[in-house]
Amino acid sequence: MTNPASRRPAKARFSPGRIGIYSFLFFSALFFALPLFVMLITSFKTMEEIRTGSIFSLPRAPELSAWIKAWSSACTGMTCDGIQVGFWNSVRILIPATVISIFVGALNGYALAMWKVRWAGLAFLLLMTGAFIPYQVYVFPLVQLFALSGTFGSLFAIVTVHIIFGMPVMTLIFRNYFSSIPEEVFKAARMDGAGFWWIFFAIMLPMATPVLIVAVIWQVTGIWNDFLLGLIFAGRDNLPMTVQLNNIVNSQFGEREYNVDMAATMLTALVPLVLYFVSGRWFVRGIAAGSVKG
Amino acid sequence: MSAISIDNLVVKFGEVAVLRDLNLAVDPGEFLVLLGSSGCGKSTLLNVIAGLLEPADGSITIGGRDVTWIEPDRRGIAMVFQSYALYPKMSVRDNLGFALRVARVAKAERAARVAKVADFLQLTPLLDRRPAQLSGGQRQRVAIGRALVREADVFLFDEPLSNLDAKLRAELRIEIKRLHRTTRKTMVYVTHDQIEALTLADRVAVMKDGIIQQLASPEELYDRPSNRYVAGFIGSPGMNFLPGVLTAGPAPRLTSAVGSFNLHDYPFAASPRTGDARVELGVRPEALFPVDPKGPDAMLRGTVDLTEMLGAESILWCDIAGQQVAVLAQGKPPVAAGAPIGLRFDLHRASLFDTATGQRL
Repeated sequence: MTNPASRRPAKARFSPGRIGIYSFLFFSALFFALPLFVMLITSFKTMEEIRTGSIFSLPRAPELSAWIKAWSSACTGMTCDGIQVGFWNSVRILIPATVISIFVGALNGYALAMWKVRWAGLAFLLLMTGAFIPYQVYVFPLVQLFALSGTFGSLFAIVTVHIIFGMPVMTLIFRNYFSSIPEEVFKAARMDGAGFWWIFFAIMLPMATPVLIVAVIWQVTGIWNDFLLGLIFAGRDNLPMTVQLNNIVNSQFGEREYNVDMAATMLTALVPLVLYFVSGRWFVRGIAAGSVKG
Repeated sequence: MSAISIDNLVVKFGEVAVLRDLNLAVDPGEFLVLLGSSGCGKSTLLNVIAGLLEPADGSITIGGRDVTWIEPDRRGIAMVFQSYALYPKMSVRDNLGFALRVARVAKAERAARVAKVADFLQLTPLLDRRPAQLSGGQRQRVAIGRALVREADVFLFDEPLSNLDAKLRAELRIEIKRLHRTTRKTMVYVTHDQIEALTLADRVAVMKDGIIQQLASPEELYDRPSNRYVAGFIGSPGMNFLPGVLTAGPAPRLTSAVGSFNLHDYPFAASPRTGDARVELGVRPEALFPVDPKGPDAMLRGTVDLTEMLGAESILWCDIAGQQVAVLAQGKPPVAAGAPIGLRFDLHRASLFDTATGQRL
């Protein structure tokens, strides 16, 4: 009898299936990367060069003038201060909305997972129902509510709207995470005399680092990329970067400045992009993080 | 006055009563073990004493104070958990000092008390480590230390050794015993391990279905189990049970498939019912002695089925009239497998149970 190991067929390094998978991945990557490539090279070209029409050719003499104009002097409607106004507006919306929505979500999740709250199941169900109704449905009632309280079209209004819409998902991910923490840790803390807030700040929040990172990525990209809510609720003085970008791209007199449009778009997309590059591995780790060992 | 007194305690999960009308008193300085298989209500009882579960009825008194509705940290108790339940993001030092920090104890005193406990438990070199950097045994020592720092009067242990391997378990068991001897604190200890129960306890409460079956010293529990369940639960290999019929009267007799015995020497706990009653005679494996099967001493006769050599002792699995009987003998098996065997036992070391009620007679 021959040795069974020697009869096993050698593993093919390049089977037809493999080749199929790699070529699919290659073309998919190409498909998604190509527009980005075109944007990037266009933003470094002069208008003269763009007018020649060869969109795939590399810039002959790369220059930053379009980027500078997009940042500081492109016209959005009547004013010509560039997209920087929108950038700072977005930052002003982003920071309080992210911090507060994550805090509220963590608190909700902690209370629902750890404490025996009366009607906890029902509250959670309602919150989740809210998450599955398209948010456009809420726009008109919310406008009415803010108008009634005299806060419509303000930083307060847009931040509040982001906190409300962020709450269901934030609560869900924190509740699930805190549910995976052994109950005995919570019991031990209670034996040590810690109450609701002590346990939350001293024990649970430090243990929640992986979900906190997921939550930050989720909320930052969501709030930064939002267009509709910002347009409706922020008011003219607080329009976020996405709305400003649209104004730059869509309201131009005379010649359409493709290089400026491209630069402005790249600038707008930069914040979530940087966040992903910095924390991509944390994002995966956070999602995978279930149980707490030791 | 009892250190802990539990009166008419009822605990319900939804509509199901897990503990029904339970009474228990723990003496000051006593080491009481709650022993039972999973689902018997022992952990529930401990959690209620700790204040982590609310009773439906009844009262709990600790140190003469009714604490039934008082928060866990105000009961003067400390608790050690099975999964250690250390705070993973805190150093050992912060884990030990957390209760004091919450209680707003001054920094200097906090450091002094943590240092004292760390020294006592030999944790000083580990103070700056995180729980993840400790071994299982070290983690459990930190958990015990966290309880000690609080200087409570009563210690509760919820299966503290179940997550450790056999060798560490034996080591920590001795440490806990030493801890009890040096501190002389009242301790209530939950376990499903009878070795832990018998070695650690001053008294053991064997629980089943939320009812304390027997509350007695380890010796009493082992030698004179109060019912059939306790008799079968304690001891390994388990007690041998020989079913038969008891004829009561001035000269009580047991008639069974393996033989007929005069019960004159048996110390009856309760006078048996008159007439015939179905009973079970329980004899521990080490209370059976191999004798010459043809001699006059042989009370049971049969053959050896299998032998198991355990080192210091050996188990003989015998077939006595179709019934399996375990015999624990010192040293090597005195009779080889397949050979005939005679067995002798002392009736005053045996236990007799009423088959219908399971109670000791």
